[in-house]
Amino acid sequence: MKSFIASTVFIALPALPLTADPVRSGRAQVDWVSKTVGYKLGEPVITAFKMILDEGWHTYWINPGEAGMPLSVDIELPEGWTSDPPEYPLPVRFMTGDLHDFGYEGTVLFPIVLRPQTDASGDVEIEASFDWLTCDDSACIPGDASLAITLISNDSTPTDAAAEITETLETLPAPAPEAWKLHVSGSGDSLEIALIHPPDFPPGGIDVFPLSVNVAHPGASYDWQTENGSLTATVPKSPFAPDPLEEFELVIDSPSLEQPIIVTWNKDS
Amino acid sequence: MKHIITSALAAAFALTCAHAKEVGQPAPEFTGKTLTGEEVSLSDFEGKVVVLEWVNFDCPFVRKHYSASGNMGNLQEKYTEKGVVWLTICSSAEGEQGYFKPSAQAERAEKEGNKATHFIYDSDGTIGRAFDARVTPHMFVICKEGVVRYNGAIDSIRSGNADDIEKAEPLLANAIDAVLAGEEVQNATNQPYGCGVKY
Repeated sequence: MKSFIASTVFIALPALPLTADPVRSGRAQVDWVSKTVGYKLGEPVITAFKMILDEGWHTYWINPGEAGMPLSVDIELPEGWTSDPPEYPLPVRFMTGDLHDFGYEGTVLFPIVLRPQTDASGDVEIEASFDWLTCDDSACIPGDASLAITLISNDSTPTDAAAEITETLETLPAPAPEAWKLHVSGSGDSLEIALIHPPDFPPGGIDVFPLSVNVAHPGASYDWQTENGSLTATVPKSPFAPDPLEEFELVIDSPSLEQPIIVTWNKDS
Repeated sequence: MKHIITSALAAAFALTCAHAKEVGQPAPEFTGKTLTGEEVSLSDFEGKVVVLEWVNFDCPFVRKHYSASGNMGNLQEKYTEKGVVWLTICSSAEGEQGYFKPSAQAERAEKEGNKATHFIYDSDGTIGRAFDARVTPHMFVICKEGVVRYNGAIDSIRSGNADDIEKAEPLLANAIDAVLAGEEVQNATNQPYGCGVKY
């Protein structure tokens, strides 16, 4: 399955003042925080880009919907270190004017995993450039920041941000267990979706978000029918859906799930 | 069969596929006023290729193609020299982002390097709604016969970074070139990226 990752575009920003403190840009206060004060060899370092959006303003999910764009991150890693792309928590829906969008309001953390070089030693400072868009109903304001994080050698003491990063990790969409299956077919302007779930899963109260861009219409309403252990729904296709369809990923949330799951269909499955 | 409604969205949304259907259909006729108060109608340009561009100079995606790169002005200059009529349209409502009074909008357009044939003032959104213009920039190409041949993005990279312009597929320019050559437009309908039009 395609990983739930995604910064789409790496940005070469003009020189911004580098800082380890929170920054205000766009309509948000942002910070780059770590779960631990340092790193240990062989262990990933969990960091997160934290945004506190101004009231009434939002930023965007990896599938932003009909307008907007997702967060972009460009990290300057020390030699031998690697990083994973940012991960996106479960979004909310909102309208920007007439447009159906997905994203975040209030406070949101985007976890970013750093992996130390196998024989790393000494304290390290890592720099990154972040670029995002904030909008409200009447305006869009871009934001950017160059932020630094210092990691102490051989020290995994939790920071003040550890609890909120842990809470975010526990609610991130994760690949679905094998018992879940997704089938999708296109018919005219519609998508026929069938979601097979484990027999003991109570199907009421689920909510879904299309992770794939331009397959389901971002404004689609999922009216699920239960049928022989599966859920089915017919939703409008995105006007820009490929023909034939190649892949579709759906994030499913339910009070019956420990955390949201990602189900995937592709034409060869 | 049990019925479960789960989406937070009302089912009554009028979800149209207008974007997909417009290409190949006659462009809606419209009349608008330029920043100097002159009336301009689409039918005035019968027999010419017409480009429509939705604009909001304060939208970061528009800035990418104007002040950050000069890309839009360069395209306007290049294609108007080839006989294309380029209409820049602002549908921002009064009080919304991108709205300026005509004289201020004219100053801003000049400062941004706009080289369109006409800049049309559409603050009541009539023209924008007729074309279902969704974002800024949203681009349309209309052939000499008055049929919409392209409806989509200016290029293929959905970002606010001007450095991406060189790396992107120039979807709009490819479409104009194809229409001028009398060829079929590839990727004639695609998702425009940008800020929502501030109706």
